Amino acid sequence: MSTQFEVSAVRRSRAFRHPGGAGRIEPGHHAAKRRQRVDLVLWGGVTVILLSVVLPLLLVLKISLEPPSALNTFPHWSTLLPHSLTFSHYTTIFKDSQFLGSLKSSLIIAGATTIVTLLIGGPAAYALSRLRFRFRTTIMAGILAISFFPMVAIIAPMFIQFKELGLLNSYFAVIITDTVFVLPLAIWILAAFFRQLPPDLERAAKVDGASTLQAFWHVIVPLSAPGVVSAAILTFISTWNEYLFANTFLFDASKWPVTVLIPNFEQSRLVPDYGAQAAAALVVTIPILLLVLFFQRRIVSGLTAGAVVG
Amino acid sequence: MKRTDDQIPTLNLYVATNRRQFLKQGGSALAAMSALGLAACGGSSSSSSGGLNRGVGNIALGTTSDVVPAFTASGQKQPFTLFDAQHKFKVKYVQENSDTDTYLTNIRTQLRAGTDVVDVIAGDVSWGVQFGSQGWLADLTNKFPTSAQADFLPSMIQSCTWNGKLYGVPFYMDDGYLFYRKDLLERAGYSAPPQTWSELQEMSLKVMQDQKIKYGFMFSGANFEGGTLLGIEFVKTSGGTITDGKTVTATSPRAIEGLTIERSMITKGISPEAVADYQEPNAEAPFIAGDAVFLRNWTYEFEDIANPKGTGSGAKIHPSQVGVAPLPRASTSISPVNVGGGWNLYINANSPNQEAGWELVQYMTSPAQQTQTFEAIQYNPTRLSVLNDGGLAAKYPFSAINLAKAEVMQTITPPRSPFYKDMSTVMAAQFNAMLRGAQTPEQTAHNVQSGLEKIVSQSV
Amino acid sequence: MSTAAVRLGRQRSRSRSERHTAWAMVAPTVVIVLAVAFLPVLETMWLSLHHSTASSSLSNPGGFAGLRNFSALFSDPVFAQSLKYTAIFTVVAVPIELVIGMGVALILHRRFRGRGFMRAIVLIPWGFPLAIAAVLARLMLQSPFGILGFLLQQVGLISSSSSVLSNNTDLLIGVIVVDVWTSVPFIALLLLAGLQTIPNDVLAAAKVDGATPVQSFFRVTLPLLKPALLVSLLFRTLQAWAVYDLFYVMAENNIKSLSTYVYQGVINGDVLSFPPATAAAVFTFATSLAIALVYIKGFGVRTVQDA
Repeated sequence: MSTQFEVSAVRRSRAFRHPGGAGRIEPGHHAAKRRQRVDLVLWGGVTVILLSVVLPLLLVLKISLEPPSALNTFPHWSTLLPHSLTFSHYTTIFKDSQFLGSLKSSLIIAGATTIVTLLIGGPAAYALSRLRFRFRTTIMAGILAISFFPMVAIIAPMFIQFKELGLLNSYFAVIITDTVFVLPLAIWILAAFFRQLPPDLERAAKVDGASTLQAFWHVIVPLSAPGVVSAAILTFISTWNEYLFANTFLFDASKWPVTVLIPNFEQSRLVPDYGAQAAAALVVTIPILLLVLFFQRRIVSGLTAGAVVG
Repeated sequence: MKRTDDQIPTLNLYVATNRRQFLKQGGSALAAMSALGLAACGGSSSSSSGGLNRGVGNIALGTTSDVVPAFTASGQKQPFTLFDAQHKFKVKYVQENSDTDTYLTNIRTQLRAGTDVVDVIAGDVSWGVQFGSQGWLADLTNKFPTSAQADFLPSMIQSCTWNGKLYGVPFYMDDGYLFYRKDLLERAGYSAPPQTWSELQEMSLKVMQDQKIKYGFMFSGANFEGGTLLGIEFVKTSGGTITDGKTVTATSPRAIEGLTIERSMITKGISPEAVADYQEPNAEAPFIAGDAVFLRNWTYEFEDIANPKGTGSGAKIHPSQVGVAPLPRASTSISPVNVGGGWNLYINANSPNQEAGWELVQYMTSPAQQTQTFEAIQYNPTRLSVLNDGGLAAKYPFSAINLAKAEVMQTITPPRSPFYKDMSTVMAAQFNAMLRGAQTPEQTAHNVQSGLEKIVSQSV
Repeated sequence: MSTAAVRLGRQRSRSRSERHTAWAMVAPTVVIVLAVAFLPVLETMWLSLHHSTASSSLSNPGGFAGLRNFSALFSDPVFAQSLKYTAIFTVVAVPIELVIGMGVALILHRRFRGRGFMRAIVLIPWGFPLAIAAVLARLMLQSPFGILGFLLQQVGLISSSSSVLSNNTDLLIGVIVVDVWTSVPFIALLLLAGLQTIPNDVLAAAKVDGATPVQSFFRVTLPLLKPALLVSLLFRTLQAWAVYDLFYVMAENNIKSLSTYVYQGVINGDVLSFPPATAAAVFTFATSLAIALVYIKGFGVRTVQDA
């Protein structure tokens, strides 16, 4: 089965869904008993999933709210609940210019990468999905192949080249490398969405005298807004979370994005400041979590459309 | 780039006061340095021929650092004053954000790239040879003649020297000490700190058992450069050596004995298994919290013990409960040593502000400023004249200066090699594997031997 | 000229201009992909044949070394360990993630109250930055004050003086657990999408034929899920093989992966560590490609859509 299979999975499911599910068909006593057992499995599973996602986060939240004295003593069962609440770790990090700077760096890197990726990946996805030209499949395969590349395969020569070009320690170095590694995902998502549109759209536009580019910009892009949003969100999230390139090409702490800064976030003199680290980790993750929760459907459809490129 | 008289050169200075945990000390370092500036005293060999005579208010220290709270706590607000009226520098403070290993990675990348992001580097003792041999540091041989070197600790001068050229000026010392709980030892009937490692182990076990103390000896055994130094230290305190950078002697019986002692701290239950993942803060915290009898730590521990408030709120012991001694040895016939060093000031070879940088280095290492540094943050001076100033020792009885003199104990700097980083990587990994119980001390010695021999043979 | 011929001519010119437009539209992507991915991979191979350092240039990469960097690499015990840990990590983590992901997908495929909420919740670990998850894991496992370390000591999983971080086996397990936590959502989503394409009639028919739910899962659902399974396996295997963040942050230097080995050598950059790092980069690239090929050719994962 091909990509199309993944792409259409979500949409197709609606058509096939039976109201009531499989359990309905079997009547009688046994079925009821089985349903009960199945329900137990179901709710047990749901509980386990919920706890395993939420409990670690609650622990981190607890650490971020504990006074330092409680964090620097031997834990006890009672420490599973906060001793007393303090917001001092949050005030610490929000007064910390380096932390604020890293938020800015992350925004710049993830924002710029998202824009660049959409600007160059969008037209490419359109051409690859709706136009006919030679080497189309080859190019598609080549772009896809990048998602098989381990990122470390390019860091040695890129380091040397950036050094020679004076681009080491610049956002540009991280943005360009990040872009290449998110391009496959973005192009795949966009191509999947473009492909779904009826084939006659451009023809109609062109009859009215529009060029291919104009048709793309004025007809296709607006109609694929959900796909563009999916691609943008997934690009943003994966760049926000990127660590290797930022850690390799940026050596000035004031340029570090959050993923590089927080592992080095040790402030207090006595112990690494666990509280501030936990608070910072939550603060930088919350925007991502909000994106995830609000755009859940877009992300899922993007991920499943772009599944083939991971 | 030539500066004109009305241009105030901006000096970008990397600075840290603590050999291991850069950031943790950043605050007090800056506090100390601003104290230096405020002192505005003479003693600096100023070369104020430039003509401009700007007031203190015009000298600014820009900072990208996240240690501003530490400043404001000490009453200082930006801009920070580093220089007196005779010194015409605007000092931009470039803050690094992690331990020495991260600092090293970043500064090396930067120097390799040939940038002049920083002009002056306050950095680890082991960097002089590593960077100097690469041509990344300004050659100070002519500016800093032998006559001027004479007042500095010879080992620290050595650390700045490679192939007959001098690449730095010693800034301050940072040494390893044994901190112990006086009260616990007294209660157990011991009147003096341990002289030997076996005494330390015996005392630990007795105190742990009788007085229900959780840990005996805390040290930082993690796989990092600090772990390298501690491993070498166990070997040195056993009368062995590992390498001088050119020859490797890691499999001598004394070296193996040293490693065996290190490992035995865990097997005898004196140190928790977890020390294999401890960096300094992990080792220090239980001691400060009153849960350990002994602690091996760097100079900054004096400060942390004397001012428990400054160390966070985990402190449960009073300074009067703590004593400090030179590190124990395998036997009393071996004289006390520790492996550490301190920090030197280096000038980036690519800096356009060579002269200004040199002036800053001179200023910071002048006798008066060394005294100031010691008074502010208790790091030992690198100048013999200041180190041997009896007044300081008398004025600060609980401080490193009382122990750091050569007749009390000797501080040995890390092996001098352009490939020290590679050597340290091998040693840290091997010592750590031993602490994790993955290999015996003998295997460790042999692996270190072959690993270092490979580096030495490839690097000539 | 007949109208037909005119139309044909117009079509031809239109398709020619369309071809040009198409090329113009893919050109930026092709250029950047060639310059920042394909060419650098070749350059890595070029460097790996020389005694290069991070101070070298590509035009002057140092003396020719032949395959000596590779023989040095394969005789380096640290590389052997990196390879071992990466292999164990991949072989253990990916199947676990697959099984759990399947379970999660099956649960989320059921209709129940709050299903939409649960689908959002499940996504959270996927969106969590791996490097930050690793920091938090370290922080909570830290001795002596880490809360998770304490809990593990209390339930007797580790000894009271030990820490997960101070024992390589425990550390690897810890790394795998964090990886499972962050990776299950991706697999679950793919499998869920796959599950939703299976028509309920097929399952209903199986039931009518007297198949138990377990039987119908193995005989109907699983075969139909094979494409989704293989796709998620392919991508998870490659991601695990190239793992960097987790090992670098959570395991620091204690256990290395292939990627952290390469990174350390590149960033260290001297004549001793840079050349084997370039060789290791080539090795990692080649093995990744081999894994991809095995999946694509061997198992028939279809990745490029037929034109």
